[in-house]
Amino acid sequence: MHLDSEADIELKCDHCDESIDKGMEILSSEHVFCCHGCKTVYQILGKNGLTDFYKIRDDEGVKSNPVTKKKIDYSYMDDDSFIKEFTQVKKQNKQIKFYLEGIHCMACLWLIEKTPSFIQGLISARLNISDSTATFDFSDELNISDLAQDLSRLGYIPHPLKMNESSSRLQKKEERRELLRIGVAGAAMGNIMLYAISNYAGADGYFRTIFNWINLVIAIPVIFYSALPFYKTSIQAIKMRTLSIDIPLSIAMLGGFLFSAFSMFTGGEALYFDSITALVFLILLSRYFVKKATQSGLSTKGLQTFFTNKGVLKRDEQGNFSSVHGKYIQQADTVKILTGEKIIFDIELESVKAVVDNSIITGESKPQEVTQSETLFAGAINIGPEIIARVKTIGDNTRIGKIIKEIESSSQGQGRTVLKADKIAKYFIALVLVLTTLIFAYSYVTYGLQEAIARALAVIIISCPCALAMATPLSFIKSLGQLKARGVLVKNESVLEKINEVKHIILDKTGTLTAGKFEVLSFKNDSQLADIEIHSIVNAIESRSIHPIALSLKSFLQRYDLKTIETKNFVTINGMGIKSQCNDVNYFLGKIKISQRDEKFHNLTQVGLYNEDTQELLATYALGDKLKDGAKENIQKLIKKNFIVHIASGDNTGVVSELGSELGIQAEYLHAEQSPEDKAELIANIKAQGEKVLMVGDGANDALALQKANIGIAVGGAVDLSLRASDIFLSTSNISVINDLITTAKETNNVIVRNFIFSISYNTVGVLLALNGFVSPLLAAIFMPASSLTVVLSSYLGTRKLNRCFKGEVL
Amino acid sequence: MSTDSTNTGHLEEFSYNDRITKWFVGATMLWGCVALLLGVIIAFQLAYWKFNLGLEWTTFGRLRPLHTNAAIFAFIGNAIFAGIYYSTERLCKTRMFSDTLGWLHFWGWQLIIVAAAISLPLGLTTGKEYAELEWPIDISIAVIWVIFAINFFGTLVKRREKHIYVALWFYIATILTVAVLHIVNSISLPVSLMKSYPIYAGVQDALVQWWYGHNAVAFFLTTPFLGLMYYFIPKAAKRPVYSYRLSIIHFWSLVFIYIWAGPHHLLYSSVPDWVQTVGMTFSIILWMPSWGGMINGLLTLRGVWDKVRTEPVLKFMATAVTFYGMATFEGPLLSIKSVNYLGHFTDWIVGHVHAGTIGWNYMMTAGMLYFLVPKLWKTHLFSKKLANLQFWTATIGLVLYMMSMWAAGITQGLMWRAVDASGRLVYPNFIETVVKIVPMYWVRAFGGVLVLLGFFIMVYNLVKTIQFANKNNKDQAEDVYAAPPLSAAKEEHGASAHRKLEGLPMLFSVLTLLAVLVGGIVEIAPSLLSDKFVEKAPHIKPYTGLELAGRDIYIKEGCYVCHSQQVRPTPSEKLRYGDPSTAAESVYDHPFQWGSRRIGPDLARVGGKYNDMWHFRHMINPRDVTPKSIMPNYGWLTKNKTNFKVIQKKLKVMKALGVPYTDEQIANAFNDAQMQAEKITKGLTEHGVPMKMQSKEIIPLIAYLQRLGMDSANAKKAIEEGQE
Amino acid sequence: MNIIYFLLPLALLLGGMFVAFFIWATKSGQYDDLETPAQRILFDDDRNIK
Repeated sequence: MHLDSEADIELKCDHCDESIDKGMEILSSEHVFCCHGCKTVYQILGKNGLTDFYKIRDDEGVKSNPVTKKKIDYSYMDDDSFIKEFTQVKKQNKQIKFYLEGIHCMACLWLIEKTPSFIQGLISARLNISDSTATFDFSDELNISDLAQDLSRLGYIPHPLKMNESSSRLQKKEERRELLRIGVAGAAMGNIMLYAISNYAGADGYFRTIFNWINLVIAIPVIFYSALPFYKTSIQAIKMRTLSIDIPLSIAMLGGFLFSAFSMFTGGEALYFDSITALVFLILLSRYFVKKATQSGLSTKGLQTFFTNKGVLKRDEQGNFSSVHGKYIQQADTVKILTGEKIIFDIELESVKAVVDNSIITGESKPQEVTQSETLFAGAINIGPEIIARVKTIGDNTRIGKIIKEIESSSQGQGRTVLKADKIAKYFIALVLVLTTLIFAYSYVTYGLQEAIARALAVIIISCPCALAMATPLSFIKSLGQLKARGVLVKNESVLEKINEVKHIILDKTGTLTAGKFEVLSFKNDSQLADIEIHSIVNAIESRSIHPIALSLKSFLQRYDLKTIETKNFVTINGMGIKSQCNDVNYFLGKIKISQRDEKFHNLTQVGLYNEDTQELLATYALGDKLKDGAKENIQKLIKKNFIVHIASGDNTGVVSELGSELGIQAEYLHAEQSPEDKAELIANIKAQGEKVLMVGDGANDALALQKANIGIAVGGAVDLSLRASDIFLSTSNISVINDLITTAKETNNVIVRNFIFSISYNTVGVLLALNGFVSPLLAAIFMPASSLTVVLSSYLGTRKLNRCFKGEVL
Repeated sequence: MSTDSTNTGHLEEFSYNDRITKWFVGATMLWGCVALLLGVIIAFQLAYWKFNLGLEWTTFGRLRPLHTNAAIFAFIGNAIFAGIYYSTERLCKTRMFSDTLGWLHFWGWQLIIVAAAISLPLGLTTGKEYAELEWPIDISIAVIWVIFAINFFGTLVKRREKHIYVALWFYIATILTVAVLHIVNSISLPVSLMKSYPIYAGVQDALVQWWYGHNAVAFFLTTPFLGLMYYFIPKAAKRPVYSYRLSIIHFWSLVFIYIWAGPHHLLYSSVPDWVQTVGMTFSIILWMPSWGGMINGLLTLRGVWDKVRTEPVLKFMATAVTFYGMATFEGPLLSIKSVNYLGHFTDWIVGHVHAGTIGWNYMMTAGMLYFLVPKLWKTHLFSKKLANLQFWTATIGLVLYMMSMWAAGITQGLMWRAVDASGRLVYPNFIETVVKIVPMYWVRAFGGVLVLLGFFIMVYNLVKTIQFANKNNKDQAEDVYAAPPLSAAKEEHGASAHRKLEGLPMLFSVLTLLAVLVGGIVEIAPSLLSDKFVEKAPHIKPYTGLELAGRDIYIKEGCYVCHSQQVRPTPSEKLRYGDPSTAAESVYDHPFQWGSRRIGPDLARVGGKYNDMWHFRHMINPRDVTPKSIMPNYGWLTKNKTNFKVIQKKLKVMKALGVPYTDEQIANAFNDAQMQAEKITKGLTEHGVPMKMQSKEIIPLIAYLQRLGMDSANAKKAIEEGQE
Repeated sequence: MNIIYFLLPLALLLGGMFVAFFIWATKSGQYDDLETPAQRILFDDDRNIK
């Protein structure tokens, strides 16, 4: 079937709308799909009358996620210990909770909650979009692995969550209690204000006393239930003999309440039930919003899933292998690891030879051969035949495990400015307490008890430095959250501060400026054979070889439904290609003769499939490692911001200088044939001149240089190892993110300075007003949280430039 | 993956009861026409008095209460029930709790409407605005409402969807609060089958009445429609609500403090100052939750605004929410004391009311019907062009209505208070202000016609849709749905225990509410009646038997609909009407007749201002004494006989309500009344009035009118004489 | 003005009742997930009859 290659119509997969390059689509009846996964899902939906999925999805204007083809083995989910731990029995049905990857729109909700109507034995499915967890109730007819299988085939990879996973249930309970406290405080404030206004508006005699008594009664639950968190934190602070913001607050609340109650009995008029309940309600509310902002910023779910809890084949006593959940493997168990499976423990090899891709550890993607009784570290991928090995260490005490634990602990570190803010806040609180006692004594002497209490209360409420303490962390949280959403994982706030002082930027070539790995970029079929035929033949020929070109070809062919073809008498001609015979036709797969090269892809390596007997070129694959798009324009932007941009790479000078000229970087800043040690030395002498250096390199092999630079940014490589060596990890390969990082750092600093100025001036003005009695406790109770809310808002809004950057505009 | 799409045996099958919703939709259309037609009629009656047709049953005084009750409880009531039944079943994924209760509720409610349609034109009214229906109908309303509550809460307890959507919370608030409001405001002591006196009097009755009046508007015309908005706008726009969290905050903030906004109807009246200020403050605070709802509703349409241009359902709903925003901004503005001083008693209030009722309720109902009818009858709308035509006629009609009422209201408000340099009223004669705004009544009437026409167009459109459906798709069998049982969806362990427990609080709270209410009434009511609490002024005496009969005729004819009895403490009103009314003056008024509109002048101090003959000629033909008056003729007052025998029973009931009638006053109530009537009639005979007029209704009415404000006037005269 | 003795407890009762409702709703987890319900109502009436 000869496709007219010229009409370059844009083909879109009917399931996931991914655009498909010409010649790679799969046709079935009149639909076009980008891969087999999508085709199967489309058929499943069609058969069960669920085609509304596409109508809803189009309304939503969202793409559904492409379906991974490779079959994931979930059989470990049927083993008893898993069921006991991960499911809950509810009357005679069982219930399990999954974290589902790829939930992002209404169509997913609709599809997941419709599963009971076409999965046998499934009773109910309930999805929670905000944390994309789904709860499934099922009877014994359905075993969990089938359910997990079905879900993954629909495009949602399930990860089982322990049912009463203490953290999430505790968090939910805590959330509810918080909401309750706010609700009670809010209702009480509303109603107390009602009666307080009646008294302010002149209700007198019998009504006035009733209303005061009602206010007293309604204030009790607010002070003794809603305000509990304030008392707890201040007691802790006192136990640790430090000053916390909650101490003046608790004094204001308890003191205000007790004094108002006291003056009620003695017939006094200074009643502050309305101001203290307003105080409790508004502070609880602003803290709730701050918590909500921080929560979304810092969830590091990404790192936990490194240890994907999946099935492992464990050898039991009789010697045969059964699939068991990774968590139940102990030391000294023998396990079998199939081809293409990731090793999740440090193991000692038992079988004779193993071929492993160790890029996570060493950084090179070149396959590595390992002989018997050598150790293999967790994270390596077995690309050779299946191997048998004995488990040495598991979980956190594997080499990678220790690294991850260290990274997660270090990311909690406080930035310099945040520490500075807390210190100022502490002094401020001490000052406030002193001032309050002073003003109380002074006005007690001059104006009497009533006025003294009013003034003291007003001062203590209005001067609480919540705005100050909240200002800095909040602005960081927002920026870190936004960066994380764009695939930039920053270790902690202090890193963002240091970026502003950087002058030199050193970029590594492979992996940073270029994609770094061979990929099939285009395929042309000039023969009469069907594409599938060609692909199957090539796949059969390349099946045994582990040459990089072979690996990239195989990874590309893998998405087709290939036919198995038996091949005989392999002959590898090194440097040229492989000859072999498939169903009695001789083929040669290898370098294309110069004359037949396709001009369009002159700078890419081209591999052709020849019919040996007729010397006829059947089909050509073009592969290459092209420069990342946008690299040139981003480098220009960096230079315009008068950074000095260097390129340091292990490649030969020819390639580096050609790249340098293309990117517009002067020769003196191009360093070729640099080993990791040379790069580290280059950084050392730049730092010697007293300038700050930022290094962007491949997380694995440039580890040494990244560690030396003031700020190290790791691109690609393994997230865990590179984060250990550097401060920032880019999970996206898009270069423009570096520019975003620099703008974000600068703008966040401006926001912090703005917040600082605002909160300092607000507090000083507030205290001065309160000191000479202009501000009543009620006004203070409203002003104070208003200031923290403005700070929250100012951090949330950020600066105009920051928002343009977050919207994806590269500044 | 099993591929057979038949039910996998674990899902419970059920179908919705849409028949009751269909009947309620029909009732909404029917009573909509009636209510709007009545509105247009009484609008024309104000513009040109001859439209009163001179008949007892068609005058403005009796038709206006019928219009308000028909519009609120019949038209909007049925619309709410249709919307609530349709959405609750779908939000709970279960059939209605019990079909019989559903039908009982439907037929009961229609019966109540018919009873009201008969009793109000006959003049059988309690005289309390928006609660005019007599006590037997009040009781049946309460019974039907409880049936509705049981049916609704039953559905909630039997639900298959764990989460109670925000719309359901609005329905819960509506049902519970309206029950409380209605029961508390209708407590009265019956005199006869269709006559009763409320236990509250004067200022207290005013507060309870307007606490009910405002919250009837709040919890009958707003919260259920907010619930309908939160359900139907997302469904029609196929988009989730803008921010579900905001809707939750909106609901709880609304419910916690909504109940206290009543007193803004009584600003500058004899209600204590601090109550007025509280009412004002909380009405202004209410502006925020209302606009929270509006913003949430409008932003739900983000991304589908192009559909608002083409889809009539969305066009109506978007406009409805905008008018809701406008009306709930105008309301708090009007409740500011200084603005209220201008607006109170004028047509501006009528403009505000109809911005809310036509703008928000009528438009939202139209949008909902255009959404419901095609869905219920499984067909498509007959014609979108007609729907658009209705939209434009109704909108233009409403804009004309509002504009004319604002203009009339502000003109009249300013003319009332206009005082020239020498300190005299610029328009001393009240009729001058009425004549000025009669043209506005014509514009308003025409606007009303457009709104009515729009409604007829809609009814025609929907009826054709239904006919088309009945002709074509025969399978009117109910669709069968499947949903997992709730118990399985419980996340907490020990679900079964929780399940029983969870069902309990619903019923438990409803029952406690009713129990506490009844308990409250029984225990508190007597304390209200005892003299100890009511402030009194020595010179204020209860009405005589004949005056009381006259007062009941005043109520029967609905005079309070145009005349107020409350002089406000302001300079211009002192010049026009005399001293401001005090709380003590209306202490024996069961019910209070302060009124809320001044189409005619204030009558609080009309006693002794004109002689009996003036009143006699004025009642028969108002134009005879005030040339351009728009008041209808009350000729039948000279034909209908006064029922003297029932006066004694009335005095007994009044005594039971705490009015200090002496025993012998009650004993010879009949003779005293006859004597007083004879005295008045003898006075009239000099001017050619025949003696047989003595038994006619005009005489007690004159007696009552002449008594208004006399106690204070005599006391003041006595003090002045004493000083000389 | 003593109607207040009746209206006041009533208002408090109503307010209190809705606070009780609020407590019951929060405790029974009505407000754990505030995103999905808004979208779930959109699918409630499509038929999957046999």
